[in-house]
Amino acid sequence: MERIIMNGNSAAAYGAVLSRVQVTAAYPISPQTGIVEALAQHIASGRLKAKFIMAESEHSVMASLIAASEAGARVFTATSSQGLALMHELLHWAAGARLPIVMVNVNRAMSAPWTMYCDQSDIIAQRDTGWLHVYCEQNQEALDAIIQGYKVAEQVMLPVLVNMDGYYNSYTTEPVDVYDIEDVDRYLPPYNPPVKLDPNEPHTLHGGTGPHLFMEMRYQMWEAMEHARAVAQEADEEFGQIFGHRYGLTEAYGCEDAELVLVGSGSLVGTLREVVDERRERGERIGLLKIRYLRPFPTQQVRQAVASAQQIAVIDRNVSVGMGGVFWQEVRSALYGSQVRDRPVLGFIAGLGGRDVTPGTVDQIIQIARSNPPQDVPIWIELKERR
Amino acid sequence: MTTEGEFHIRKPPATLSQSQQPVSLEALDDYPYKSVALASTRANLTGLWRYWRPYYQTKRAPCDAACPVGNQVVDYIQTVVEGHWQKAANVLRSENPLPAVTGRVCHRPCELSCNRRQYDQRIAIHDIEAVLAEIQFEPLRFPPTPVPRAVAVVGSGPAELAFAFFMASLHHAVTLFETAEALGGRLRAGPQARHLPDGLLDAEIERIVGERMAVQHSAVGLEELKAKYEGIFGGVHSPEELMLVLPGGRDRSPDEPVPFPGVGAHEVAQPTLPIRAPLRVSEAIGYGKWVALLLDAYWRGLNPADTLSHIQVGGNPRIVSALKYLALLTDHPLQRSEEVVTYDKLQLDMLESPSSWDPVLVTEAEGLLTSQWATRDDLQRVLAEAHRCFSCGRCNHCDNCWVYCPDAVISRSEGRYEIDYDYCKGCLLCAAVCPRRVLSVIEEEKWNG
Repeated sequence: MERIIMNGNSAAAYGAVLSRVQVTAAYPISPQTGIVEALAQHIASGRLKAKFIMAESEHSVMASLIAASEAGARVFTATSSQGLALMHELLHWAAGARLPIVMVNVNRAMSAPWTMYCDQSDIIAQRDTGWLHVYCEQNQEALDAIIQGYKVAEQVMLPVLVNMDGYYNSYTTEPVDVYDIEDVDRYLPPYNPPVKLDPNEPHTLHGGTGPHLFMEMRYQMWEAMEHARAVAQEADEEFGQIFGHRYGLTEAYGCEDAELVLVGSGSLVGTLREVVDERRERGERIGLLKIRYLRPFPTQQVRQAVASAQQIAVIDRNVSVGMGGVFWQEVRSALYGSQVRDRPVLGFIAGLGGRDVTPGTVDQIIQIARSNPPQDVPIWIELKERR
Repeated sequence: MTTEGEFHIRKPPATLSQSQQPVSLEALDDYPYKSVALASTRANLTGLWRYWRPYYQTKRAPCDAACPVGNQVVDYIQTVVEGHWQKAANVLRSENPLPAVTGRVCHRPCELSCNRRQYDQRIAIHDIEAVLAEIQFEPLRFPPTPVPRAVAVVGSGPAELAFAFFMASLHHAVTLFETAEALGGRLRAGPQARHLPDGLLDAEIERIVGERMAVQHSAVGLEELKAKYEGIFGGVHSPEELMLVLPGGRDRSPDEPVPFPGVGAHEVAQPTLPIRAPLRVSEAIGYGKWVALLLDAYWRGLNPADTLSHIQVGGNPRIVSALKYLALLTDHPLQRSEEVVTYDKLQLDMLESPSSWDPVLVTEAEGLLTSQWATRDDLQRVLAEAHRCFSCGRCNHCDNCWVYCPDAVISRSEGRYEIDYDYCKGCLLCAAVCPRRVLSVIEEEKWNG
């Protein structure tokens, strides 16, 4: 093992190398480009034996990865924002075809207006495509989530989207453990698909399917995704035993006695952690719930983590216009019918389009939460006032 | 509502894979985990939709078609690229008895017509030829002739040597008459001589003569020769005028016409073949070879004009191939079209990127060198040059057809591609992506196997 200072893009590329991906197709888009460049170098230097396809669009990227995956290869790509959106119809296809593709999304707000900066509006829009969604806090987590991603994907035969925050992860350097590939080999066996494209044994894949057959296919996807919770837990546990890093589907941090639980995802969890540490030193009963898996949604873990809370504040770096932040909706929906259903679940919108979520921002959120604000509409933080 | 059972990935049952039975999916457990057809799609013979038929057919590169000697240039260059040095030397030596000479003194019509010349720079074919000439080889073996003839060759210039070489290879008893002390004729005296290092010509001639023919260094008259030989070739009256004289013999009277192509009616009784002089060296070699192969065909009872149509190269009746003659004699017709693949017929957009080679190839070739006229450096240079060859008209296994076939009906094994016509829909993508026009296309109804 080697500990190297690197940014999130490099860490993601190392994750692909250690997973011994066999085919990668890519199209450059900021802030993901570093991943593709690093992968190209790994392949050119011979460190990774893989086919690198330079595609003419993200749509073609996903189309070629679908084909390569059907042929039995372990495949990887990364994208951002408009690129992810361009893949949209094929994301459904990849999941429906039950292909264990792992893709990194380095998130970036959807335009217009044109922007390069971080928020989750790109990946959130792909929530219902049938992929597993993993949100990373740190660069190490991105590397680990890719290796774990294949471990899980190849058991449940569903694709995995690993999200890291543009700029905050992609361009920020941190120490990252790069494991010995032999150790990763022990954790992640070679991909051996139950069904693959074989010219010697031709079968039609995903042909026209009538109403009398379709629902059962969807139900099996549902089943696989439900089962993915346990598989992901196990994969994370085994990973922790070998490599020393464990994440869980969620992480409850100081939640046992918390009156107020802050809920977040992605790189802003690091900021929340700082604030929670500081407040708890001062004796304030504030906890943090980090949601790592958005799909499958860890309903039980969320219910457990907020069991003692008087108030829950969900901070969303995205907004579903007309409703509110998506993590907020998900948490509220998970709590409905549970014993904590009548506790206030506040929804905060912060950090859109790359605006920094600082400890000061979190202080404001805590302050507002304590003032019993409205619960049914999202609260926009650090928005300029009207004149 | 289905209860939650133990999760597993339901594979399609293997036993159904070739069946055409309707599939019953009554229970959830009958479903495969992904939407894969449970019956084979082989029953659907989509090849029936085909209007155009693509098929593999080796063609002629312009270099081959331009070589007066009848060298199979692309064949030996690509055989080098494939890493088979000795096989490449065999191909070279089968057609050309003097490659070390022509590699140095030829006027190189092959390079002038090389397609790559229009792209960037021509292939240095002469260089490859000269180096390959120093690699061990096995001489071409023709089937025995029913009646070996006594043949006299007068003079030992390039045409005479080529004639003598092929006649001897074709199992005739050859006697070479040369008044000078050393063989080689104008190769030794002419302006080409200065391009040939000391001893090279001797070695090359020794490879031709060896134990296979008698050499006499005395002057001899035509009448004397006519009495003893059934075929006489060379500068009988003067070195500038090559002739073939057939005095008659066991099975032929001196007056019987010989149906040699290009010979006028009044000449056939005593065919002499005067040719335009002075011939260039490679033209002279090609001419000696041309006469030898057709004379042998005549003696074997074949019609020379007919034979010529079978063994000519690139549709040019003045160029013949010994390998094609061997194929004719052994009844193994070559699956090769003589259509010349000119520059406009190449698909340069689909050309594969330059490939690298294993340095082991150079070491292997070094072990096969027979002289000091080629070194490791020469081998390296020539190998690099060979890799530049476009391989016009000759499949070099670039895999484009195999990769691009949208129906995966092209199979690949041991250097051969095959199209499964039961399923080929005739989209012709394979022909469109072949950089070197190996794939031909014909209307299905005109195809007759």
